[in-house]
Amino acid sequence: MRTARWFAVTLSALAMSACAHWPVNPPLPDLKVDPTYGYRYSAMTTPAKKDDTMIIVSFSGGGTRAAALAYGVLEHLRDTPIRGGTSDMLAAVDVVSSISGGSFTAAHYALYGRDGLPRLRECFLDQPRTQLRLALSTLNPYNAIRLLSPRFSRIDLAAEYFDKILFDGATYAKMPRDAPYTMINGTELDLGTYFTFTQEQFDPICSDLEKVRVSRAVATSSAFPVLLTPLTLKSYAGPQCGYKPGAWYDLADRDLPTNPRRFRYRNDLRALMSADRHYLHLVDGGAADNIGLRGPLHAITSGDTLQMNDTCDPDDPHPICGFSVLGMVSSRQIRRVVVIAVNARTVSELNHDRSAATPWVLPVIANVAGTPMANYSFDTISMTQELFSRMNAETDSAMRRGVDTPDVHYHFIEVAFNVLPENEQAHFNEMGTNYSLSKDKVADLIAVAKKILGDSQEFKDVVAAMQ
Amino acid sequence: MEFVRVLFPTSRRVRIDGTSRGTTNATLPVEAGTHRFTLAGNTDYSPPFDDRTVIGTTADFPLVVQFMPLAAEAAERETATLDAIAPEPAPRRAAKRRPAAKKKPAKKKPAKKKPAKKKPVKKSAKKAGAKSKGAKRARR
Repeated sequence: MRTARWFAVTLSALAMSACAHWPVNPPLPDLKVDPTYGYRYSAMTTPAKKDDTMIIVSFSGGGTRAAALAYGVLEHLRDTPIRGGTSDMLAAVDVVSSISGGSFTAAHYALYGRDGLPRLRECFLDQPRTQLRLALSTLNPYNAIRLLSPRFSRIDLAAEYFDKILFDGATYAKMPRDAPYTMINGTELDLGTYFTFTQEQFDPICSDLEKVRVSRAVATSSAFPVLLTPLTLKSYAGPQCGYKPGAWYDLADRDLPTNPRRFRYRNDLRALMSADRHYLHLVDGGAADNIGLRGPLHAITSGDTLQMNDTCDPDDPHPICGFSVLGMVSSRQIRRVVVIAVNARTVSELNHDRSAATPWVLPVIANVAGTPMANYSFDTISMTQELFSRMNAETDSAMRRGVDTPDVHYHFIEVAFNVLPENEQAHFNEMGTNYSLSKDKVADLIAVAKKILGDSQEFKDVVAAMQ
Repeated sequence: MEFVRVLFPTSRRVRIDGTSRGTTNATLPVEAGTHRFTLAGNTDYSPPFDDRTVIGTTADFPLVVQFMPLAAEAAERETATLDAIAPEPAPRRAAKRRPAAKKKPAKKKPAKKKPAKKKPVKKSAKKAGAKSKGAKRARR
């Protein structure tokens, strides 16, 4: 009798395990691309479409440390009045691009707006046991059985947990179109390039983002390799869905010698459009860009978008415009581009230098994994700063000579610990990348974000210009 | 960042790679690389598109892309055709003979001019002949 009972339990467990499957992202309605459908820049009513300033905020990775720093920046923007006190800086934000920990704040703000900020703090930031609860959820017998399935893994469990504590099952269909255009980024495992959860990015794989839960995007963005498994998306790519990139796609094929970055962007799209790739596996956005600036940087420097039928014709009552800041600059729709990069990067102490002993294998692996990421982030920040100063110099020179060219000014503001005095930096450098920071540390992070942004001269200049 | 200026006699919207990006006769920022330049609206210009690789420019020294209105372009083409039909060899011959005329005595000049005169006569002779034959037929 007991054997029979065990047999029945085992059989039902196996059946449950076999049934467990990650929520499959559906194909587009009628498997046809509609360039006006879904969560895309063209569908948004962002402030830049009404005024002449484009404000882009990027939130880096770094667990709760990054989420809290991002939260502090949002609060400071909210508390900074502009236009004679009739509005504030937060209302003027057009685009939020995020990675990993920063994606919690970005997605929650996109869904619930400024009124939802206290809830984000209460349900996520001030919950030092999030990481523990996430780990314990794998020990739940029901989850443990589901995890036996090759089609259900820890990342799916994490997405379910984030859904439960923060996002209430919201899909992209519920993302307000009058909120900032929110780009939650992951990394495509095979291509090694960033993958953004927007319909523009989902069009080439002929999939419908509207029915995908926001929590899955956030989980992808924070799927730190090894600790969490990659998240899988099904690709329905093929000629049947009718996706066609813009004219730039064929022209960029010639650009290997003149612009290798553009050539690569084209090849990445070609790979996405391939009917031979049936699945995409996405990991932490930090693997491709831990600052969350690569997507916005592409839009600032390039007119190439993934948007189909991107004519952006101003004579059209409903123009289809992909997200290109460069396009808006050349069309003279905007005169000011502001990028606020919230960078929660910490610097670890140089402990190895104090000993003659060969470093242990785990710290070496951690360094080898983290160093390219840190260097790439550093390069992204440096590249943006250099680009902006060059473009400002170019515009100023052209204006002095009376050249008829768009008069646009670029501002770059970095919110990072490295501007603090060294003794203050040490306090934040000690905070690890996890979801288990104490309430006090979260409060310190929020306060320091406000201080750094408030003290920034570049930020003061922008606020003064927007009065 | 690169710069391009699309020239056209009137103000028109410029399309770069199919997307509206500013107006003609202004200096427009573009990404380095190969781009297709067209004008929005009527296709009353020539060439219909211009594919150019933009590299090494500044706002002060942009790449210049020029379009012509079709009517003006047709008129220019007609002028070019007429120039091709017109007896161009004459100035060439004169240029070649000038040094010869300087070296040789003045007496020889008319001797050399004769064959020169004959050549256009020969070319036009065919036409003249054809005309005269046609005239004869008409008379008949």
